[in-house]
Amino acid sequence: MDFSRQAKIVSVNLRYNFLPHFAIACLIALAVPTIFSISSLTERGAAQPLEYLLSFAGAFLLTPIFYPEQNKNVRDLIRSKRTGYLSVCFVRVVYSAAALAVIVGAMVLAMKLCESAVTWRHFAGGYASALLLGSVGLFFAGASGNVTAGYMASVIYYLAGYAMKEKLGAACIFSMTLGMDFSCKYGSLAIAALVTAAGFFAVHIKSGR
Amino acid sequence: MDVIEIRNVNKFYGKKQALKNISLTINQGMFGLLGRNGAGKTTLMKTLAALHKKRDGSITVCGIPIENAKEIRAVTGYLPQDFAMYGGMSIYEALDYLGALSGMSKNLRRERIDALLKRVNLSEHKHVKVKALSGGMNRRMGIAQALLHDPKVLIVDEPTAGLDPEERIRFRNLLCEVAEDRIVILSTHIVGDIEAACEDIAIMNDGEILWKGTVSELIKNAEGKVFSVRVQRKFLPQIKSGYIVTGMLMQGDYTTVRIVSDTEPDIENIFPAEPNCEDAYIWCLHSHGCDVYGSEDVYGSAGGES
Amino acid sequence: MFFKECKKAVFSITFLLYVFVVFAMYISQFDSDTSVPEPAPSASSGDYGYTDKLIPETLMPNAIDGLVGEYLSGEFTTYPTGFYKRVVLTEKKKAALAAIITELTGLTAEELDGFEDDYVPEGFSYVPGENGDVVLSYHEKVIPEITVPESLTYERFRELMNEADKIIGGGSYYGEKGISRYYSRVPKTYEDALADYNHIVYDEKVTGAYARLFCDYAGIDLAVMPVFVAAALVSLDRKSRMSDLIYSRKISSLRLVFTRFAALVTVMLIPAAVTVVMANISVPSRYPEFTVDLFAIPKLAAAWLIPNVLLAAAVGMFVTEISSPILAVFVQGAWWMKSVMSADNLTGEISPFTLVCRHNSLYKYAAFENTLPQFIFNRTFFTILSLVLVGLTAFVYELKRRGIWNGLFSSGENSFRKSSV
Repeated sequence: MDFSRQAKIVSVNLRYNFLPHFAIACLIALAVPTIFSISSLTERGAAQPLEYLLSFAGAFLLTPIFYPEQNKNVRDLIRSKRTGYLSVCFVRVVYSAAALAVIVGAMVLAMKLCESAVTWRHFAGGYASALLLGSVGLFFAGASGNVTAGYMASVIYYLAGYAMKEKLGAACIFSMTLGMDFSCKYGSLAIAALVTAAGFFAVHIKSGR
Repeated sequence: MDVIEIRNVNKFYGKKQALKNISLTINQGMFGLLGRNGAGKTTLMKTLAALHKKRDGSITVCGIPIENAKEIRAVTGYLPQDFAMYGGMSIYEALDYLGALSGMSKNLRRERIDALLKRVNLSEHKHVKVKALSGGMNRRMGIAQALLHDPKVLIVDEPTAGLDPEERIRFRNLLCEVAEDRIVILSTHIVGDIEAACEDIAIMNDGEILWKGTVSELIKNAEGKVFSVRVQRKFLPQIKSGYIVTGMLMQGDYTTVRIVSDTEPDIENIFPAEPNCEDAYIWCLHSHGCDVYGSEDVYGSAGGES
Repeated sequence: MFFKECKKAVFSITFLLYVFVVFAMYISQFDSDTSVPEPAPSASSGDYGYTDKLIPETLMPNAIDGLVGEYLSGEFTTYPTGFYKRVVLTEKKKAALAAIITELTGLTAEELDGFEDDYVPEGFSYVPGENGDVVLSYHEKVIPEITVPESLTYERFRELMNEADKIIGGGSYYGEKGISRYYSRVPKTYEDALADYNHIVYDEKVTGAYARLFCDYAGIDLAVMPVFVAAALVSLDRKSRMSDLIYSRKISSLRLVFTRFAALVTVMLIPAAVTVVMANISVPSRYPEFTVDLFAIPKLAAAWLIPNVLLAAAVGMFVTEISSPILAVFVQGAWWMKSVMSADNLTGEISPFTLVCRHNSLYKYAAFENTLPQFIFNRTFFTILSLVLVGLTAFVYELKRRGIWNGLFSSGENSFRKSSV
């Protein structure tokens, strides 16, 4: 295996196709303490900033996975190379999800330092919500070939969760704030994985026509 | 020997048939695919580059079945119709990245990129951002990336569209050089590109191969079907409505008109003329029942080169 | 060209989603609001709902009670941006607050602490836990009976409360907004209710009151959703950029950009207009026995909602042109979020620079009327801002056409090669 080649692919993607989105995700994280309090929160109160605002960091990191190749000509060019296009996209999902974990983790840690009653569940639950919101954006952006539609779908999904609350079950990204059973989060995670896979499948079908 | 075999290939976009029973054998050297916009050239090219899936039939590229996309991509270089890349990168970075995607090692990439940039005259511009390139530079960078991994087959889609005449000639020459030791498939709707560069050609229309052969055979087919006449300008509309006009030369009140026709037109002082490539192309389309009367597309492309 | 642009906007997935949101919002929010029945005389208080009235005699002791209670518990509930925030004061601030309480109640700091000592045992009770250990169980704290000194005037009271709010960090129950929101709720009397009802059905001809509620709901989505449609249209792939170039040879960048903007706004106003018509049919049908003003909803909707669409579309076009659709979505999304989340007063009190104006009530016409000049300024300001942004978009477009500037952090998607010109 020639790791310098893989390293090149990852480093170029990190620099051109990740940093701007990561910067936006960080801005969202920084906005959390300005809108919500993160200190001395009860267990349920601490879930609110994570689910209501930080989840958008997931939307901004995962929705643009296919964006660099939104232009069909760029996509055809990349696809004409030996390395599979979808495997490059998969690499992007992996590092974006890792970056999201870091952001959510840092936020939970900051809340812990500010004496909020946070546990690993807040991390896992907040992370699952962010991934779910992001996967919805990823799917719509991939299926429609239009990144803006992806963000729009994320926002609509968010509002639907806001309006329908518990009725959405595990598909609701606010389950912790609503005091629903924590096992909902496993469901959320599974849905996020499925929706992401569906997004990849849609791109595969679309571009291979 | 390197050869592309295409046998009975069909492809559909929904209900619309984009490729109809295509069979072709393509040998080393320049191969030209000529046809109007929407004839199915790009679809065929993308199918050959393993970007699109065919519905049935078989294709082998240098002995590799097309279904084996990874190996096909290792031996083919592809230049899309409108070459574009992430705009923020410099030429060198973009080529380096594309080389890595092609599975090339770091040293090999560096070596090949420098050599290719020299060949396409971009060495001095290698730090220029992709989004700031001019049309000609962009196309040259496109060919450099397609040749980066030294493919046996080079597929270039409408490479000269949008280039000025000087750049177009330079680009054509570059392709001819490249074709010396590999298969180069070139699609175009500009007859001049084919005439200047290709030996073997195929003419496509509406998803079908209308005709295949050499350029000289194509011209030979049109012998005795091309006529020339000098008429007063006021008769032009009448002639245009009754015959297929492939060229006009204005000279004061008079115009010399080239006409393609099965039988000698009933016009005073008309005389037979030697067919050129353009006449032959129009004749080929006409003799296969394509509507070329007043077709803007045909005139547009033909006129563009003359 | 105008119609071509309209067509491009209409046949996009983002527009489809936009239409979905506009109707979903109308049906789920506005249409589900029921009509107000005519009040019937009844004996018990609270039957007619509540209203806000600043009555110093009841308000002052209640608010002071609340302040002392929170002071004793050591924690303050605040809503600085519309979201709950718990505040714990430092010793220094606590002392400052004690001084205010002293003036409000006549109780000294020591007396206050004494209260704490006296009352804590009653406030908390110790119950045995499962393992036999003692668990602290929290109950409502017993608040000492407080008498408001007669010398304390209402004006001075408000001043002191504002000071307390500042010490706590803003957004507490004791600031200007807090007092009027939490301590001025009084049950409506039958006369009040009847007067409100009559105002709605006669003075405002029903639709006048519903117009505000309609705009309140519709304004929320119309302040953000257009940004997606606009950003998507501007960032369409380069193929369509090429057709731009064909246009732009014939017409100026200014005309091109304004035509596109006009087309976008026009198509986006169509679904909004449809909901206006729907509201204009459904509202009068709930009040069959009254004469309604059929122009009230369309008139207010035009003034209230068009600036929202203009601004969101203009931000979408401008930011996408200078950078990317992603940044456009982020900018407008963040602005909208901030505006919606920090709207702590949903009725009236529209300030000059609020993006999303709210008036989530059929009542409180007076509050709306009071801030009408601000409202008019607000809407005019956003309209002008939109036009300025569109002008700037045209300028940036021109720069790109000439190849002078290629935009901020643009990727292959949006890059605009010189050669294309």
